[in-house]
Amino acid sequence: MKDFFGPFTAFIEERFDLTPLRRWARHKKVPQHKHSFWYYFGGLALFIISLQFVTGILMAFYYSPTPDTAHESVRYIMEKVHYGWLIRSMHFWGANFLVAVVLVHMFSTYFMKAYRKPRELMWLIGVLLAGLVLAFAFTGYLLPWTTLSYFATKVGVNMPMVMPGIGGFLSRLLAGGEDVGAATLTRMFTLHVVLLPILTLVLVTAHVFLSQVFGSSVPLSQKGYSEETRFFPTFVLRDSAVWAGMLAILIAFVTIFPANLSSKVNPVMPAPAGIKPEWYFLFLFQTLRTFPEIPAIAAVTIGLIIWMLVPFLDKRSAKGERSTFFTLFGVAILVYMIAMTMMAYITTEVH
Amino acid sequence: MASTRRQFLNRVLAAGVAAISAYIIYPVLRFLTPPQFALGEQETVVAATTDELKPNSAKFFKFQDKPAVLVRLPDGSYKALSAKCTHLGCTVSFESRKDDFLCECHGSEFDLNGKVLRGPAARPLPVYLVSIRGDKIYVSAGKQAA
Repeated sequence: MKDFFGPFTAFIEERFDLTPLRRWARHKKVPQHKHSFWYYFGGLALFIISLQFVTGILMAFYYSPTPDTAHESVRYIMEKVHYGWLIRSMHFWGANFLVAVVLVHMFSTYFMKAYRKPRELMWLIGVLLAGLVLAFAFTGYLLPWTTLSYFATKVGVNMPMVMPGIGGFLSRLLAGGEDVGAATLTRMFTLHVVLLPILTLVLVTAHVFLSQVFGSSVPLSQKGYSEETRFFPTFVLRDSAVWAGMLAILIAFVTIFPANLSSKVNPVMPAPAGIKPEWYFLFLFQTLRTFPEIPAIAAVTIGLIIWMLVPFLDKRSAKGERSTFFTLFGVAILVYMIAMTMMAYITTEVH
Repeated sequence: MASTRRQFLNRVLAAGVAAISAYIIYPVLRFLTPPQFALGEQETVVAATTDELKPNSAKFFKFQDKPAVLVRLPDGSYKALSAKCTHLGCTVSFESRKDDFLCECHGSEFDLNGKVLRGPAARPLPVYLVSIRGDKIYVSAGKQAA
């Protein structure tokens, strides 16, 4: 590759001193042990986020966020624009894969106790990023203005209503009025393409910066068994291979199962039977169906706060000791999410 | 001198990167190229109803985001053409007295088949397909036999 990039590198080096960068690349090491497979999921999430940015920006060239034109513009992208089906399907499947990869990254980080000191802030930012990914999924869902997306958003924006005091205000803030309509579409679009991307860029930068400062965490069980591999070129090339593999899988999904566009919503018509959220919101959906609203939302909120504060609560891991309680807590949350998702699939027909 | 294994692998890697780049860049460039029809445009529109136009008269309408004209000829048949002058884009007018189209901006004239009768326009007006179904007159993209 040196020959290939030679003239370009020479041009840069005549103008900038790349010695510190070279030294950093030469000395940076990545731990190598039997669980280091999980390290690839962070980079994979970054790769899919980049894909989502590119495909999202491309679609913004044609998308029109008004109730009269939203559905038509998405249909136009799918049917008339060259490779429009490919770009939209990439964005659709990219969103699904991103949620899955972020969940795997978060739970693997949790079970390897990588949140322990000094990486508490990385964990906090990571959980916020996972929340942003779900917020992207929620705000993007309404944009094609289909019957499913309309009623799913209706349920979503009405959820805060059960909160005493500020619930009504929060709900109106999200919907931009008393009900889901033109103002909601504008708000969701603005959140999806302006606010959330800015927040994501800031938090991803902070997350990646901290990962460079602290390096990859070695699980407690692997202390003393871990070897080191060079970040550049070994880990970078392996990461690139994983990204290329992910791109190939995504293209395969996009080609075999291209995203469809269901019917345009008629807001005055009743909600269709069996309406469900996407798979990643099913555990929340089932929780709200199984338990009374206020205790359910309170329990989820408390669980989320504990989840965020785990690095500060888990004193044993911070001291380098095994903390079975927090492992079991993580297992309980994972089992609960899987069980509730499966229950939602079994008890209802899922769209 | 024969290339070393390292040089060979570097070249294979560079070729792979170039191939993947091309395979990403090509659909992106094609995506950004506007399609033939803009959003909201249809390939076929209802330009008029059969009782709307008298012989030797014309109706202007919007087709694919551009002005178009439907003319009823003295024999009762119809012609549809783009009404956008091929010189600098002004909308032409129908001269029923002379059975032709005149661009008031720079004086170009076209006959009922879109052919240039007088410059400065150099290219003919595009002709569209006309079909009648029931009492509706449809105009669609594509050339009608002159």
